Amino acid sequence: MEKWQVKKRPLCLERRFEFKSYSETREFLEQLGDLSEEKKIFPDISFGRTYVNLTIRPEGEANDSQITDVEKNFASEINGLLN
Amino acid sequence: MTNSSASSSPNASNQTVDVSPVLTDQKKSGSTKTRAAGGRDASKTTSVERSKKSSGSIKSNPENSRRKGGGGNFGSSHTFSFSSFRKGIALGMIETRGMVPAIEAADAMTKAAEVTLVAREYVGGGYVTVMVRGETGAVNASVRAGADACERVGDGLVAAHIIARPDSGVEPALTPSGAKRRY
Repeated sequence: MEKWQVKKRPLCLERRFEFKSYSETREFLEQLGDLSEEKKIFPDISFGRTYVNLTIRPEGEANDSQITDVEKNFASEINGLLN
Repeated sequence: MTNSSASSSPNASNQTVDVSPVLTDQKKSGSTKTRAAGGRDASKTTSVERSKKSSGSIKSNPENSRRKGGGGNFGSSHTFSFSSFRKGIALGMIETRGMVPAIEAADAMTKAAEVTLVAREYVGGGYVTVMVRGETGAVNASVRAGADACERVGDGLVAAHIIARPDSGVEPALTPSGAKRRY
């Protein structure tokens, strides 16, 4: 889960990914989409031509929901997409 | 009396044609569960019908005058109140440089997945934002497709964003402003 930042208020995990070209960005987004569908976890995604910002929020709707191992493992798997 | 005679013989010059359905989901009504559930009901059909019925009194109606002069046709779609039945559904946004990539993106997004185009906003400075809503996976796929499409049109893509679970407090901000152009 390295390079992910834990933000409070609202609690979430964030990471910015940078790429050299749009095609690389697109490839990453495609893989991310597949992973999200597989895990049924959908992060907020912000992207431009050469960057992607991801925000993973706790699954629960309640304000006091905590980031669990599920989200942390998901973040680690996203890191794995870069390899 | 004059009103009734005007409505009985409609004249193209005094009718307001509401183009907002093009950018909402009327063209595909019933193609998704949410559309059907949301009910393309009387509230949607009224925008055109209302224009026809009130063709004789458009000039005297400030609301209609505002629409006519200020390009508020799209703004009238707020009466459809998508937000009222779409809370909690994912939101996808693409901002483009120029109108052509925005249209290209909107076309690609709605073709790629079952999403509803809910707004097109002229942000200013030539920037245009289009917004879609739908199931999270569908919005994901549609925004990727939309970004691809507008990326091909010049330097169209400025930014894209997907919010999987927008807070209900955001809903009012998702209502189309009705602005025609901003400089």
